[in-house]
Amino acid sequence: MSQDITGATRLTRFLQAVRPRRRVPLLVVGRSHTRALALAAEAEGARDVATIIMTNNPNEQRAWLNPLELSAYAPGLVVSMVAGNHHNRLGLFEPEEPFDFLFDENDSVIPGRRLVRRAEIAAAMLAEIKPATAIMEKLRAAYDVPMVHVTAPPPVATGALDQRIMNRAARSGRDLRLSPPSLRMKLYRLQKEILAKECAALDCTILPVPEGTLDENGFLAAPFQKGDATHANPRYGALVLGQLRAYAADGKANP
Amino acid sequence: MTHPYADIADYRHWRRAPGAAVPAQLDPVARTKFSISREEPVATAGSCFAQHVMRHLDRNGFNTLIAEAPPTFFGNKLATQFGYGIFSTRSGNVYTARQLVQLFQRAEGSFVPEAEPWDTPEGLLDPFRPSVGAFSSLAELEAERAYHLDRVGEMLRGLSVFVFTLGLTEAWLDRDGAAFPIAPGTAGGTFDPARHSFVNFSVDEVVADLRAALELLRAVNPNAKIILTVSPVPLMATALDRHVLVSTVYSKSVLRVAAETVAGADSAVDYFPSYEIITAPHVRGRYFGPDARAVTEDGVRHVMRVFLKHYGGADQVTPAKRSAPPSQSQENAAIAEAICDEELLGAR
Repeated sequence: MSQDITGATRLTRFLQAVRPRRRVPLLVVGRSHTRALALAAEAEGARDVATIIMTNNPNEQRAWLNPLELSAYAPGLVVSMVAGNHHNRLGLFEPEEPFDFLFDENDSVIPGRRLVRRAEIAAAMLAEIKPATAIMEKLRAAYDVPMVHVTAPPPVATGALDQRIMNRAARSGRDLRLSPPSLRMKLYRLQKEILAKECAALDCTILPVPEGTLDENGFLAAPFQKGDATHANPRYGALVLGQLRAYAADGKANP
Repeated sequence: MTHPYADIADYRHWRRAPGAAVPAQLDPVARTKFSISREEPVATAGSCFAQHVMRHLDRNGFNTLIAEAPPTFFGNKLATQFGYGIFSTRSGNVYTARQLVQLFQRAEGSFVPEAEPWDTPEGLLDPFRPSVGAFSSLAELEAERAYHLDRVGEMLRGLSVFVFTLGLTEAWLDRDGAAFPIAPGTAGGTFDPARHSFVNFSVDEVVADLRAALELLRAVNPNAKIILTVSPVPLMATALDRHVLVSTVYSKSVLRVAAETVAGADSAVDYFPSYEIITAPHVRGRYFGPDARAVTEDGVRHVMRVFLKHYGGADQVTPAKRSAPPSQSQENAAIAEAICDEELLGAR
C-alpha cells in the first residue's frame, strides 16, 4: 500500500482551510519510539503536545498519515519520530550467516563473520528508510512551520530479550539470538548518517539523543532502557520532550 | 546406388533439418552426453550470455547453485544491482578461459595476483570483478574478496554440473600474467603500457586453459559434469587494428574450436550450440537487437528451450516460479517490527 503524497497533501490543505484546528505547540508523529514521549507527556498532564502514533502494519489504517487527522492540528513545531527502527530490521537478530561491516577506516570486524561492503548495507538501509522519509516529506508538505526529526534512541548493549519476543520466537520455532552490540551500534550509526542526508534535503533539523542518556560506549544507559533491546522508557521520553520545548522556544537543537 | 549420405538422419541434412522454413523449429542438438536432473546443483560462470542461462534454469525449476548469496536482508532488486545471483558466485563476467583457470587458482590459493585495486572517484575497484562496485577501503576489498574466493571454492565442491560460456579471446594481462576482465584504465585504474600487455589467445591456449580449469574442478569434485557454450554476443571493441567484425569472427571461431577440442576428448564435457542457434542463417539475424549485438529475449528463449529439451527433458519441465518461503531475514525484520507494534498496544 502506498500513498499519493501530492493528492494526500492537497486534501490535508483543503481540510485545514475548512475545519477548525487545534493549536498545539508540538505535534509529534512517529511509530513505536513515540510511546516513551507520549507516556511522559501523559504523566505530567502536558497540554502543549499532541501525538500521532502509526503502526507498522501497512494494512491498518494507522499505518499511514490520515489527512483528516493531520488537518485537525495547527502545530507550532512538527516533530518526526519515524525511521527509528531500520537498524534493527537489518541487524537486531543474527541471520543464518552472521555478518559485519567496516563503518570507517578505523573500524574492525568480528573475526569469523562475513564482511559485507558498507555501501551495500547502506543501500539496503536506504531502501528500508525511504517509506519513512516519504512520511517526513508528507509532514513537511502539510505544514508551513519548522520541523525537527528526533534521533532514535541508541541500541541497548546487553539485556535479555523481551519476553514477548521470546514468545513470538517460540511460536515460530526459531532460535533467536541478538546480534553483537558492536554490529548493532554500527547499523544505528549508519541509520543516523543516512537520515542526516534525508533530513537535510527536507530542511528538517535533527534533534540529537538527549545528553546524559548514554553509557560510556554510546549505548542507551540503563536508567533509560525500557527493558527490551530497542526502546527507551518514559524517563528518556521526558528528556526528549524537554529538548523539543527548548527547541520550540529558542530554535537550538542542543539546549 | 548407395553413398555415405544416403541414409543420414534429417538433422544431418541442411534441407531436411527443420528450421529453414520455420526458424523456431531449429534444433541443432543431436544428442547430449548426459542429462541434468532437477536435484543436481547447476553452477554457471562466463560471459554476459551465461547470465541468461542462469536465469532460465532457475525459472524452469533447476537447482541453480548460488554459492555466494546476498546478505539475507537484500531484496531481489538490490541483489541484482550488486551482482548477486547473476552467476553462482559474485565473480562478475569471466570472459576468457584464462580468467576461469586463474579464478579457480585464486580460490585454492595457488595464485595471488599482484594487481593493486583500481582507483576511482567512488572508491577502489577489484580489478578482477570491477562490476561488483567500489569498495571504501583496501581492508574492505581484501576481506570481501577473501569471502568471494572462499565461495568460489564452495561452488567447485558443491556443483554437479558446471555451465561455462566462453566469451572472448582478446584480453589484457598484468605483468605477472593475471588476466583482467576489462582493460586497466577503462573502468578504473591506470593503463601502463610497460606493465599491461594485450593477448589474443590461440586455440591451443584456450584448450590448455580450459583443461587446467577442469583439472582444478575435478581435483575437488571428480564427478562434475561440464557444459561448454560459446557466447554469440559480438565483441564490443577490438584491440587490434582491424574491423571489429573480423576480430569477432576470429574470436568466436577459436572458442568454438577449443570447446569442440576439449569436449571431443572428454566424456564428461559436452558442447551446447547456443552460438549456432543465435547466429544461424535460419533465424535470419532476428535474434540480435537493434545494435546488432545484444541477443533478444526470443533468441535466449529459443536457446534455453533447446537446452531444456535435451538436458532436462522438456516434457517434464514445469516453468513455474518457485514460491519462496519467507527468508529468515524477513522473519527477523517482522519480529523486530513486531516489537514495535506490540509497543503500541499500550499507547492508544
